[in-house]
Amino acid sequence: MELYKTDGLTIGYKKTFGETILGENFELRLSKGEMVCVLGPNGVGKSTLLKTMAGLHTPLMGKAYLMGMDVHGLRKDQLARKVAVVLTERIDAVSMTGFEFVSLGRYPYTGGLGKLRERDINVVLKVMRETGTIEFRDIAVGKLSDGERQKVLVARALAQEPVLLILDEPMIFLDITRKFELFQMLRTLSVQKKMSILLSTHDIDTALRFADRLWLFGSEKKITAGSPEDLMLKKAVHDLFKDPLIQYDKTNGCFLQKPQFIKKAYLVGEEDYIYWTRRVLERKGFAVSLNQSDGTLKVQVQLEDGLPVWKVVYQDGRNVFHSLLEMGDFLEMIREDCLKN
Amino acid sequence: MIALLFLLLFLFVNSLVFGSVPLSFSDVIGLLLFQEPRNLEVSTIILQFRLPRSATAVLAGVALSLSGLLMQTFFKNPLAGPYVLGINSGASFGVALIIFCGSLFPLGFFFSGVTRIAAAFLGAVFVFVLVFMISERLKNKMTLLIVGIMIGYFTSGLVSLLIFFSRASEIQSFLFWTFGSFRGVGFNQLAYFLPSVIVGVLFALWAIKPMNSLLLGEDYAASMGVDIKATKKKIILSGSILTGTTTAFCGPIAFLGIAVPHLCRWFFHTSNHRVLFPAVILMGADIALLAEIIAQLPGSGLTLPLNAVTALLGAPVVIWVIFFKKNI
Repeated sequence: MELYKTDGLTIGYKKTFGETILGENFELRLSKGEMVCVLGPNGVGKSTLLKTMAGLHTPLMGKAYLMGMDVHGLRKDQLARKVAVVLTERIDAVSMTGFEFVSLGRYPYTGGLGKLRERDINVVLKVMRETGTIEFRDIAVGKLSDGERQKVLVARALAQEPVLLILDEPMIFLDITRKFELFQMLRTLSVQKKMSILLSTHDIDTALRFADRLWLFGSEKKITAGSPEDLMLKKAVHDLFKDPLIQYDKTNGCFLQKPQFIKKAYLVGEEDYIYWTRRVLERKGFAVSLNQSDGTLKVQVQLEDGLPVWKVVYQDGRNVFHSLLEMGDFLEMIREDCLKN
Repeated sequence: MIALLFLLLFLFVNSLVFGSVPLSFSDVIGLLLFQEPRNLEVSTIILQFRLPRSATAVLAGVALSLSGLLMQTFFKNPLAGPYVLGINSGASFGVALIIFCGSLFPLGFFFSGVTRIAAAFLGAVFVFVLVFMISERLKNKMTLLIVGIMIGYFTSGLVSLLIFFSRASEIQSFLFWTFGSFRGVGFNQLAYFLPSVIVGVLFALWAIKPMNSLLLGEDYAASMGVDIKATKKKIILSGSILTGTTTAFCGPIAFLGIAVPHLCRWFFHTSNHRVLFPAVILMGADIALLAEIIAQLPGSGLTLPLNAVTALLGAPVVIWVIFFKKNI
């Protein structure tokens, strides 16, 4: 079922003279219970897109409809019961308990002085349990860690009982474990509550795994929408980051920094040690070659009395190392030599 | 909170006791309980001089502290306050203009309470809106304070110019007023002061719900359904009424507005306005009374300038905020 659609939506900023257009004529669709990730390079206008769709920013042209209602014409408190946001602004100066903070989300439902009624309290406690933030009930939000605070922010948004949750880079500042935890939580919410989730992220890997749909916001002011897999096969994600320094690793489905090699090296030896030895070589600027005659450098890994030994032949000199750190230092010297010539 | 209320009663009674003519507790309490006074002189001192003075202190404390809270949330700046941002000075300029114009055009109504309040209010609104417009352009919190201080200097400069072109009698009355005092207000002026403060407090009460959301920033607040523009208008109106009228009657009083909200946040460990609002009202009244009692230097017969006392009480609080609060 279609929940949200945009009609010729043009986003950007009005300036004193003229305007800055970040994206033109967007025709975007969002279904109920769907999780959509917006990907794109920095500064392309992802935040502006999300804020415009959330009704916090006025579009330069075009309309956005939520369940058939004009988002920017709707009364603010009406909209707040349908759409909630988690933004990138830091909020750590606030000294409120977890409960007080989450109950701010009841704003569109409470009366003139903001007093919570029984139903409001129940909703707050419910979303705090669902997000695993109930333990922060009486703890000052400023004292929580980044990951915990992010969950409290999501809980506050959920207290608005939205049909659409919009998150701007919710995983920034989070370590890998917290990242997955948060994504898993959002996924569960979208499935259980039939809530649509729209989020922007730089974490391509995670987005590819969890999102139902990707919106690729490129630097040409256009958005390409599609399922992650289709977009990967079409190399659309690849095209998004047209950086000569970045290359896409097809086998692992992730992006890597394209190495800048200056020399080639031939590598043989114990299978268990090959991978990490190769990593050192590549970091120091040596492309690993499988052709013996090819390399400026020959590296051999052997086990002697159960311990690894690296033998490096360079310009007829033979060098023996007992750790990759030592070998790395040696490679650094060679590289500096090569760069000088 | 109840402790603050009792403290308020205690200080209020005390403030009636201390003054240039020493009285006893039994005099004051007896009079408050409608007993026959010791002599007519005592009842005159208490009713005609000290009661209005204490009432003024309470109202001024409430008004300045509350407008300090409003401004700190409004500008998202812990060092904001009516004095620091020059709102006081704006009101002063309005009043100065009225006092000196009054001498040029000797019309009686210029001196009435209403004109004075109106002039102070307009001066306060003008500076508040000016500072607000500048704050929209400058995102740096420190710059805002510097701008506020500069606006303060600028209006003081204008006031000095007015003084330069005035007669000695007006200068004296104006200079006396700039020292800041709770003593110049009688019952007939309280009749204007009290309702204005009540109106200001009611406007602030109206903004209490959105102010909690504003703590998260304007975008978050808007996403929760806060009408940002309407809320800003309420806060500017309320802050200007409270600061303006207080300045009109008591002169520019320093540090109450900036310090009291911090004392309350520290005391109650919260930035929730539903708690802070009553706390700031009570604490503001308490501190103002305390400052007035200290200014009387009980037992000495001397009277200190009020602003010296509020500065001695308030400035350490501000320094404490700068030192121990992150994210200023």
